[in-house]
Amino acid sequence: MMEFARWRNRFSLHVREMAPNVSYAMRSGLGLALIILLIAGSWYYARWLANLSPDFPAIPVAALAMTPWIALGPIRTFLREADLLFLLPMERRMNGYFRAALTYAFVWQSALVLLAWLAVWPLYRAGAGLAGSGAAIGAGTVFGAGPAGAGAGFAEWAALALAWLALKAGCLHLAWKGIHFVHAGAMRLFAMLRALAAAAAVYALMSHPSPRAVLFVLLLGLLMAAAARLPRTTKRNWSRLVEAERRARSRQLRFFSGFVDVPGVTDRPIRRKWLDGAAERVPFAAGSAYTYLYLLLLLRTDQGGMLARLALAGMFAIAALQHEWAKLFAFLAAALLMAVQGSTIGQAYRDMDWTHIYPLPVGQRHSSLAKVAFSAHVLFTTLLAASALFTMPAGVVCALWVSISAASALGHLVWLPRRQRRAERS
Amino acid sequence: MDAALELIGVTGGYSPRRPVLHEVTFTVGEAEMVGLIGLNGAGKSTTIKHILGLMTPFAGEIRLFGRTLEEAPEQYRAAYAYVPETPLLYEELTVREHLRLTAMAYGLDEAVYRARSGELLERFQMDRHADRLPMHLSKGMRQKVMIMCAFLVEPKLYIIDEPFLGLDPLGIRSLLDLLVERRAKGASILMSSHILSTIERYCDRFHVLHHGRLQATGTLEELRRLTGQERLEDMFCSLVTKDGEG
Repeated sequence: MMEFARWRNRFSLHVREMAPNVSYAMRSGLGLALIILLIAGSWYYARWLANLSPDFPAIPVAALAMTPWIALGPIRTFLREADLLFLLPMERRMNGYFRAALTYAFVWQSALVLLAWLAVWPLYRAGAGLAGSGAAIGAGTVFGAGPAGAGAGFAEWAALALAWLALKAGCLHLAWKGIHFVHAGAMRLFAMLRALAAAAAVYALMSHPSPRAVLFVLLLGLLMAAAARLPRTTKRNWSRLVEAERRARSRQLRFFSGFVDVPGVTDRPIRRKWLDGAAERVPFAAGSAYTYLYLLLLLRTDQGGMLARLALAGMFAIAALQHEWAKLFAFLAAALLMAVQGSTIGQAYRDMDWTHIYPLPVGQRHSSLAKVAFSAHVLFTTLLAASALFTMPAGVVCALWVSISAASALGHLVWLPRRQRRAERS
Repeated sequence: MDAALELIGVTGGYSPRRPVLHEVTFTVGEAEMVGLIGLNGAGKSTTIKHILGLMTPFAGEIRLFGRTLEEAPEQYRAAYAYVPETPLLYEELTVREHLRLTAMAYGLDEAVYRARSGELLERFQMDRHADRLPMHLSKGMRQKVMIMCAFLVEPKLYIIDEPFLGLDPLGIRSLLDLLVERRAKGASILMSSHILSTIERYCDRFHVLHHGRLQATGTLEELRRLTGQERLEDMFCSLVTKDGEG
């Protein structure tokens, strides 16, 4: 009981820590964006379902859509490094604590599974050849038009929902077993097997909802339970539990850092060796020291990756949209978002002691940042323009490229350094 | 002996109402290795932060080769290299890239950088790890990166805060050998450490900080006469427990 209270206490602390981030994120437009996304998504989904071709592989796609909700999901233990010192000696009395963590994981992840199932259900009905699947997104219409009426529709939905919840419980149990494997490689392989087994089980139950499918799923479960006994395990793999919790927490904070300034959030750097040459080409001179640093930060943090993703999204939108004005808007929106994203490189290490210790003028840091952000922006705008040439008139694309590059030069090379100097002075 | 570093009546800290340092005055001469010693919280790291220019004294002044930070910020900063107690690394840069960045920041010639960095990497057994990111380095290796960056620059003054933490015995020996070599070539060293038995053998003079004040200063012989003790560890304990503590 005391251990359950300890977990609940940790959970409350976590909620208190995250609450301001949620509030700031909502105020920064996340809530509105989610509502718009939900409404627009539902509308497009309903239209898409209404025009679904009979050849469309609805059941495999529905199974694919349901699998991640069932197979994945963290088990939040809220353990910290200090617990290796203070809680580890009490390991024998910690069962209640970990049970609470597993129960919590099951409850909130089950809620997500049920929501996902509500969304996937119309697609499943379409695939199963049931009538009335077209506009059936709203809760009131979901179960209303099955061949045997609302009762039969709901019964089938509920039966499969129960199956998903049982699978969720099984997956969490297996994930918990996997965490305690001695070798990380075995844990990764087992996680992969678990995901594949979950996908096979979901597909089996969706495509042949019969006692034979249930038997197949039960056999699969027994096989996975047997497989979980093969690798060497520890009673409690504390260091891995602490690491898993650290990752889950940092994922959460990183999400919020997209909307608000979350202190201490750092991404793991990704070294893309094929890009190393770009940094090596920076002239070896004191005047280029910060250019070298910021270029490496851009190449190895998620900020560079984000720029590439924005450019790709822009390219995709320009290619997919039909109307000229819509293409133009997509081009401008992508260019603007890339500019905003690129200028955030300077936020990394802004308080690092070295920037105050290196014998370099303060202004050089700002001008180097501006130069790197500007170069990256022009490069990605050029890529965007090159792809737009396939679907937009060349004259329009050229005019867009020239005006965006000019605005970028003004913004990055004149306005940004001034703003940074002002911010530093204040 | 000319002073490489002079602290003249430095009072400083985080709040003027509760200063950490109280009128601290000491020097580090040219080609001299000086040990800055004190208990935890005595003000050693705060003193170093003031010297580096990361904190501004409330009173008094700090001169490096006769110049204050305000008078000539770039020359002031170019005159020293710093090894922090906790390695400050850019997680996105490899060991070699840290060395390259430092060389660029201090205006080294590329050929000189290549020669010196190769030698340092070999000396600290880091050549095999030169292309690794910090997340793949142990604590001792991270500290070696800091030490290599400082020695790459070959400045006139080294400011070194607890350099032995996490270093393996070979690393400690390489560091001490390098310090002796650099001192022989005229460099000055201010080193803060709790490993008194080691610095006793290497430092020319010692400054003892206690509660943010300079409790004693002098050569080993002078401190011996002052305290009547033989070993630096005993001298230090005697000095910091004089006022009834410990």
